[in-house]
Amino acid sequence: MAIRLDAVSHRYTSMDGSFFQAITDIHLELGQQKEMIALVGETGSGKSTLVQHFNALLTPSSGTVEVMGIKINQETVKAKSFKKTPIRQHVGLVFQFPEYQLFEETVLKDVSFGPKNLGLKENEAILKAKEALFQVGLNETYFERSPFQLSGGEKKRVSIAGILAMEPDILILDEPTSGLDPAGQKALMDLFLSIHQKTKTTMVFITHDMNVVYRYAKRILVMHQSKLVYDGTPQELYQMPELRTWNLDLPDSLKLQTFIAQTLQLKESLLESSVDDLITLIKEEGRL
Amino acid sequence: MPFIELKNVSFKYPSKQAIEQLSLSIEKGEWVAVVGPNGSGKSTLAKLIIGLLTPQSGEIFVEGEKLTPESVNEVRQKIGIIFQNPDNQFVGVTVRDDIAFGLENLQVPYQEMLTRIDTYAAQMKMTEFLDKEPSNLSGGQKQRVAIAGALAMQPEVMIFDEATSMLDPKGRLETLQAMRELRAQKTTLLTITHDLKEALQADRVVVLNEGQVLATGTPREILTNIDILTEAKLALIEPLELLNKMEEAGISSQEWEAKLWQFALTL
Ligand SMILES: Nc1ncnc2c1ncn2[C@@H]1O[C@H](COP(=O)(O)OP(=O)(O)OP(=O)(O)O)[C@@H](O)[C@H]1O
Ligand SMILES: Nc1ncnc2c1ncn2[C@@H]1O[C@H](COP(=O)(O)OP(=O)(O)OP(=O)(O)O)[C@@H](O)[C@H]1O
Ligand SMILES: [Mg+2]
Ligand SMILES: [Mg+2]
Repeated sequence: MAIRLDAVSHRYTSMDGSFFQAITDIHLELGQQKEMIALVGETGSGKSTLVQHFNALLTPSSGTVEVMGIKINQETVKAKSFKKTPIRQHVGLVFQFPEYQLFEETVLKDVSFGPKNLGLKENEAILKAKEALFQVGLNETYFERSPFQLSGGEKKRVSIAGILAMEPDILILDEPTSGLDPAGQKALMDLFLSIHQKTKTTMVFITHDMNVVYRYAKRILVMHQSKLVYDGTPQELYQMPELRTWNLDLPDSLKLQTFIAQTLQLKESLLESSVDDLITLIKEEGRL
Repeated sequence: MPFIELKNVSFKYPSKQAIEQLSLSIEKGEWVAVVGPNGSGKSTLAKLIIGLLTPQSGEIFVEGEKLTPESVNEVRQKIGIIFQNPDNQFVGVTVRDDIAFGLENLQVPYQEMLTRIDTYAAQMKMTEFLDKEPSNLSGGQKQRVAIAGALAMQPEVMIFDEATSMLDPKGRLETLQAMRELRAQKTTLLTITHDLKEALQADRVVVLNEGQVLATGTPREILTNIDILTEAKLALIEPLELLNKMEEAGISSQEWEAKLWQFALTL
C-alpha cells in the first residue's frame, strides 16, 4: 500500500473564473515504510489541499497521483471504469472541520456508515462503530444523539471514530488534535501510535503543534507557499535556519533544554533530555 | 460592579444539561481564561453571555443591565465574539463584506468603516484575501478573518472561543500579542482555550467541569495543581512540570521559579 505523487499541482477555480494555485509540483512517496508522518507548514501553505489528493477527493490539475497502483490524473478520471470508492476505503481521511464529515441522524449511524459501506453486515458494522467510539472516548450515552448537536471536541471525536471504524491501510488526519482537551490530545495521539504499531498502518497527521511532532513523528513534511520544501527527520529540521522563514517553531522540550543550558551557562547542548534529566542536571549544577 | 455577572445560571439543551447553577463574575478590563474538558459547557457559556441562548433559570448581567429579550440587542453591541467554528461566523460574500457587516450593524460611519477594515485585515495578514469568499479559505485563514472581524468592532468585551486552535505557530503568537494589547487597552477578555500556554497569560483561570465551575484562581494556582489538572482533563505544561519536580526534589528557589515562570510566558 503506497501513495506516490509525481509532479502534482492543484489549482482552485473561483466562481468568477480566476485561479488559485494551492500546491505546486509535488513529488512524494509514502506508505512504503509504514511510518508516522507529520505534515506541517504555515496557514494556507497547501496542507489540506495536498492530503485530499491522497484519497482522490481532489484530482490534480497536472501531474499524477498513484494510490494502490491506481493512477489518478486529468486523463484517467475521465474513463468510465474509473472508481474512487476502493481508494477511499483503503485511504481514510479525517477532515480539518468535522462538520464537513458528519451527516447521519445519530452518532452511531454516522460511525457505522463507513464499515457498512465496506460490505459489513449491519450488526458487525454497529460493533465496529461502538468499538471506535469507545476508543475516542465517547460512551453509549452519545450513541443515539445527533452528531450536529455536540460540542466542537465531541464532533471531532465522532469524525475520527468514523474513519477508525473503517480500519484503513493508510490513515490521514487533518489537525486531529485541534479542539480536543489536553488529556484527549494525548489519549488520541497515543491511540494512533498504538494502532500504527499493532497494524502497521501508515499515518499522516497535519498539525501546528510542534510538541506533537516531537513526540510522535519519525518523518516530517514541510509545506511552504504551495511547495513541499522539506521531507526528512524532525531532528534535522530543528537545526535548520529556514525553520523561522517557514513560520514554524521549536517544540517546548527543546526550548526548555536550551533555556536551562543557558541559565546554567553550559557549553554543551542538552538535546533529547527529559524533564527528569534536567532535574539531575540542576541538582549538580543548579546554584544560580 | 462586575462587568459581566452570572447568577445561578442553568441551561439545558433538549438532550443535555450543559450549564448547572453556575455563578461567575468578571471585572471590567479583566482577562479570564476558561478551560475544561470537551463538552464541559464552555461554548454554551459564551453563547449565554451574548444572549444567543437563554438560560432556563438564573440571571445574567452585563454592566449591571440584566439580559432580557428587550435588552439583548443593546448588550450584544458591547461584546465581540469569535466562534469556535469560524464557518458559523461568516455572513458576507467576500472577506471585506464580512468584516463590513459587523460594522454596519454598529452604524460605524462609512469612511471609518473602510479604515477599520484595512487596519484589522492588515493586522491579521488577510489584506490580499479581502475579495475572496470566506468559505474558500484554509482553516487558519478563516480563523484570521473571524478575529479581524471581531477586532474591527472594537467591543468592550471580546470572547475568543478557541480562536487560535488552527493558527500556525507564528500566527498563534501574533494573536496572543493582540490579546495582550487588548488587555492593556482595558478591553475585558474571555478566552476559551485548550492551549494552557494561552491560559497562562490571563489574570484568572476558570475551570469548567460538567457545566459547573470546578475551580477558579490565578494561572499559577490552577495550572500547577495536579488534582485540578487531572480532574479537568488538562495537562502540566513542561516548564511547570519541571518547577513542580524541582520543588519535590527540594532544589527550587525563588530565583528559579521566577525564571521558569517568565520562560513559560514566552511559549
Ligand atoms: N475551494 C477553494 N477555492 C479557492 N482557493 C482555495 C480553496 N481551498 C483552499 N484555497 C486556497 O488554497 C490555499 C491552500 O489552502 P489549504 O486549505 O490547503 O491550506 P492549509 O495548509 O491546509 O492551511 P491551514 O493550516 O490554514 O489549514 C489557501 O491560500 C486557500 O485560500
Ligand atoms: N446544539 C446542541 N444540542 C444539544 N446538546 C448540545 C448542543 N451543543 C452542545 N451540546 C452539549 O452540551 C454540552 C456542552 O457543550 P459545549 O459546546 O458548551 O462544550 P465545550 O466545553 O465548549 O466543549 P469543547 O471543548 O468540545 O468545545 C456537551 O455535552 C454537548 O454535547
Ligand atoms: Mg488546512
Ligand atoms: Mg466549545
